[in-house]
Amino acid sequence: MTGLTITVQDLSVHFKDTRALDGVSMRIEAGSIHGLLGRNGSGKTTLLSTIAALRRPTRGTILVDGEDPFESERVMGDICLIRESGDVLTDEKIRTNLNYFADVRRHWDPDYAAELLDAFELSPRKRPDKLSRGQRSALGVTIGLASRAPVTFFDEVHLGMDAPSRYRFYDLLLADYVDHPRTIVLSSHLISEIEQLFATVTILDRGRVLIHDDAEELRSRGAALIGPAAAVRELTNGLQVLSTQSLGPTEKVTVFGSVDADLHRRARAADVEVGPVPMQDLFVHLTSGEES
Amino acid sequence: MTAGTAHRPTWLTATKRLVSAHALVAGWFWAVVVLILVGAHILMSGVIPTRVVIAQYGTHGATWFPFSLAIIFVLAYLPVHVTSGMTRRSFIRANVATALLMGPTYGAGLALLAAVERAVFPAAPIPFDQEQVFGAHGLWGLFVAQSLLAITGIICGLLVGITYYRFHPLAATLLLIPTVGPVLVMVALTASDAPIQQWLGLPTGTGWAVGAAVAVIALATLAFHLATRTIPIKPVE
Amino acid sequence: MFDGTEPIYIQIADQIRADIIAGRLNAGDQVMSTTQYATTYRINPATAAKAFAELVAEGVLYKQRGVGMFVADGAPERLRAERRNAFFADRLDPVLAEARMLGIEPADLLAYITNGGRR
Repeated sequence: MTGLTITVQDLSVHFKDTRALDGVSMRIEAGSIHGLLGRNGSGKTTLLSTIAALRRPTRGTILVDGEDPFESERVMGDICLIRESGDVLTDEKIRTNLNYFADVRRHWDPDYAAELLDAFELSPRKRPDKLSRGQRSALGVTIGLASRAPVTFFDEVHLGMDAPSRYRFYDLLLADYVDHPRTIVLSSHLISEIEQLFATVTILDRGRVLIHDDAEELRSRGAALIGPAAAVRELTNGLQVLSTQSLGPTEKVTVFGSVDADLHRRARAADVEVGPVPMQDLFVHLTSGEES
Repeated sequence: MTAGTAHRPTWLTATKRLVSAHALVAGWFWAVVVLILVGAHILMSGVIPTRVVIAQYGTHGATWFPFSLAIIFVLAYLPVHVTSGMTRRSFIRANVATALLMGPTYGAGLALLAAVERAVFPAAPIPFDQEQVFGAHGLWGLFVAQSLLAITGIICGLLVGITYYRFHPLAATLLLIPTVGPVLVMVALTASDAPIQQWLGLPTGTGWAVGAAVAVIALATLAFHLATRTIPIKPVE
Repeated sequence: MFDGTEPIYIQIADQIRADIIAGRLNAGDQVMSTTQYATTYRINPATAAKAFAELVAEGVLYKQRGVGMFVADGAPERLRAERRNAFFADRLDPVLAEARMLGIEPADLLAYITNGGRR
């Protein structure tokens, strides 16, 4: 099992008065960890739900392992979407819920599920409706990991967890991913903690794809230039400027685009420091644009 | 990987789940019915000297109880079923199979209670040999009538649940007329006095009545299928 | 821990090279596996694998199937030699350029070096 490839072509999902997704095209390689980033309401959840066949697209096609997932017994069974509050039988004990998933999930590992409950300190005797938000998320993570589905989506699941649980989640996810490679998508608007996990990244903005790239590539396209104002302005001329901060005679300009060796050389010559921009900052700058 | 479950069709797995969920609560239902029945006989013995078979009055409970369960279960299981990677098609199939399996248990339960009562009180007049479609067939008639009622009840419960899941509450409430309608038709069809059927223009021969009942169930099933086969699973708040 | 502008896999490779040069890893020593690297530093295993692939291609590490990655014989010496060659151009030239700019005389620099780092 190495996961399945997901191809999305010109996908639009319209609700009564909103265009949740508008011409989205992307490809997620089999067996990779993909970061789906976007602000609240950018369409992340709609995109994942539509790939997971929870709804039909208004327009466009989705192929998972070459097949339209909607009502496909084979493909739907290979997709596991974990939504934040979890889709569980809320008034049945966790144990009963896990038995249910053991019945319906093809690759379910009951021993691993028990291990995960232990790791998150969840009692199988508790009912999901009696859990805190963080515990509900941990239950979702347990179901998502123990399902071992070739395509696994965690839709903002980690946001409800406290810091120790989040780090436990990242560690468990990585360890299990190494042993059982599969296609994993993590969606979030908080990315500083998890950006290193991604092989590839998509940034959604108002229902459209803003960036769809290799994570390393995306990171290298951003740079922060700090130095004498005039020199910085000269260097950044013609580049996509994301933000400008004036600190007296010194200026800090964050740019996005072709930050190449030549720029580094010229910067060094002009006494301008070129620093990295965390992906979180790139994301914030790229998606806070005023254009409509 | 769990052995054994890999190749079983998902609708069978889902049916097993649903039937056991229904059966568990139905067990409690019958336990309560028996208690009420015993209590009623104790009360009646002091008031009316003539015994009657009381079990027949359980028909309403044995229709509307599974109806309510179906509403609860369809709402609880639909999102979990689809997000667990199973198709709506298998959900529909599992629910219809559950209705067809559970319905007759209500028929059998009621007929069994009536039989026990008649064994205990041989003097009790037979309530269902009057001039009515199913009553003419004694306990078998009671079994068939109640089975049809419970099946319709469950399928209409599914319909009601789905319309409330899918549409605005107001729309779903207006839709109650067609979604609950089949149960009312079935009640009339199996009613214990023939005049109702004549008055409503319903068939009064057994063959025709069974045919009409099957047609009503088929129509309700079709409606449930159409309402569910592409239903969007709502986002979680 | 990874914060340069350079891709993470390059940073990982640099770190392993630095460990070998400093003697924290010797020829024949086993290095952390891709899995251990990924889980320890919470990075994508593919990123760690890319770093290892680069070091294997350079002959710094070698892979023993089913066992793991090891530091190649002669790798410490070779890395040190490379670093020595690059030292003057990469490290010293910028220092000298700055000293010139600040008006520090070569004699002062020499005295500092021969004193072993004290004025």
